[in-house]
Amino acid sequence: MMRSMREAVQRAAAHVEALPTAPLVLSMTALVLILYPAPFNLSEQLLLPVFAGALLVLPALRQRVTPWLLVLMTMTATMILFWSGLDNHQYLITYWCIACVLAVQADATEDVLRWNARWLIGLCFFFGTFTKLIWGQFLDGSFFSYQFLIDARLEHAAVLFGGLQLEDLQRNRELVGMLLAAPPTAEATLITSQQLIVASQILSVIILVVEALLAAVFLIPRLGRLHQLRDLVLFFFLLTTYPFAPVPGFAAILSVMGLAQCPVDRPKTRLTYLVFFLLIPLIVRLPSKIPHLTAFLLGQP
Amino acid sequence: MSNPAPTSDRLRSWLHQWVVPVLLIGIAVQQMLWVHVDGLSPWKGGGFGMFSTVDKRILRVQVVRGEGPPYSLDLISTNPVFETAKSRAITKPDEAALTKVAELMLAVDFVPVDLKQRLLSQQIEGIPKPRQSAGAWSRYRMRGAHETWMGDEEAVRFQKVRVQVWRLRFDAETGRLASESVGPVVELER
Repeated sequence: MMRSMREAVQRAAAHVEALPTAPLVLSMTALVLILYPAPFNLSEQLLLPVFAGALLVLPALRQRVTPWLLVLMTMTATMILFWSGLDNHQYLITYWCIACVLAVQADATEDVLRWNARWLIGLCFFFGTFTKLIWGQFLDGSFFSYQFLIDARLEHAAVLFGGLQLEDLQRNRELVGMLLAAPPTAEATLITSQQLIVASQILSVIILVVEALLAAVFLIPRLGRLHQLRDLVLFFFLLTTYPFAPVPGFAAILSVMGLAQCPVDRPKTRLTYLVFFLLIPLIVRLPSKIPHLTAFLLGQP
Repeated sequence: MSNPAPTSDRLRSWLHQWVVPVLLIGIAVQQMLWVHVDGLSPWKGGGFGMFSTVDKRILRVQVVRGEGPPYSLDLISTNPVFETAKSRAITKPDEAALTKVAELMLAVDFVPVDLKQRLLSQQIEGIPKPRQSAGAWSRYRMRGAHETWMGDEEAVRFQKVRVQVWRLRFDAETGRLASESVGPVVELER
C-alpha cells in the first residue's frame, strides 16, 4: 500500500517536473482570479471570470500582454474604487497580476515570476510581523484572547486551553453584541482566565516567530542553508493557518507564488504546492468542523 | 571583453525586478501612516496588519427629527451607495468620509422597522434600562429608491445628523472591553 502510494507520488512528481513553471503558474493565477474575486465590485465579478476564463482555456493568450493588462485594469479599478473594503490578499493578488504582466512581456518569464514571487511573499510576512509588533495588541496576547473568548469556532479550544465553560463563552458573545448596541460609554468585562491569557501569549509568540522566519528566509538571499527552508516554513504556515483562518484567496495566492519561486529541480515540493492549491476549498471548510471534532475529542455531547 | 547591456535593457530589467516590490512597500508604508494619523483600520489598506489587533468598529449615528431630542439610530440600509460610504467611513473615519455619510442620511427618507426590544444586561455599566416607548431603541432603515412605503407610521426625514466611529478595545489581563472614538465627530444640519 505504502509502496504503491510512494510510486503514485513519484509519478505525479515526475509529471509536475515535466510541466514548465510559467504556464502552470499563469493558469493557477487565472484560476485564483475566477474563484476568489473581490466581493464588492460587480464589474470585477462579471469581467474577471471572462478574462481569466479566456486565459485558462486558451493557452496562447496566457503568453500575451493584452489579456493580462485587461485583468490588471479591472483589478486596479476595484482597488481605487473600493480600497477601504478590500482585504490584504486582494492587494497581493493585484501585485501578482502586475508581476504576470511584466513576466509575459519579458524574455525570461519564469525568472521574473520567481523573483517577484519571492519578494512578494517575503514583504507580505515582513509587514505582517512588523505590524503585529507596532500595533500593540498582539504580543500581550490580547488579540488571541479576544478571539478565543468571542469566536464560536474557537470555543472548544478556549475550553481546552483556557479552562473556561461553554456557557461563559456564550455569555461573552452576548455581552459583545449588547455592548455594540449600547451607548459608547458602556463597558463590559468578559469572562476569561489566567490560563487562557498565557495560552494566547504563547500562541502569539509562535506565530510571530514563524512569520518573522518566513520574512527572513524569503527576503535575505544569503542566510546560509536557511533559505532552503523557505518551502518548509511556508507549508507549515499554510497548513497551520488556513484551517483556522478561512481566507481561501490568501491561501491560494500564497501557494501560487510559492510554486512560482520553487526551483524546478524540486518536483515533490512543486507537487505539494499544487495539491495544496487544489485542496484549499476543502481546507478552509475545516473550521466549521472543528467544534464537532474538539467536542468529540473532549468527550462532550 | 563583453559589452555592457544597453541602458534600455538595464532599465527594463530593473522594472521587472523592482516595480512590484516597491509598489507593495509604498502602499504598506502609506497605510501605516494613515493608521497612525487618520485612524485607518490596521486590518485594511494593504499594510498586512490583519490579525495584529482587535479592531471591531461601529458607526454610531444620532439623529434629530423635527424639534425632538437627539436619539441613537441603528442604521439598516440596503442602499449600495450608502453601504460603500459607510464602509469607507468605518475603515478610515476622516472628516470627508463622515460628512459623506451624513449628507446621504439627510437626503433620503427613513422608514420604521419593527424589532423586538433588546435585552440589556446588568453587567453592562452605564446603560439605562430600556422603556417600551423609548425612541432611542427604535430602528429605522433607509427607504429604497423605488420603494413605496405602506406602513402605519410616516416615512421620516431627519433634520440633523451626528456621526462618529467607535471601536472596541480589549484588555486581556482584566477582560475589560470598552469603546473608544476614532476620528472626528461630524454634525450636519439640513
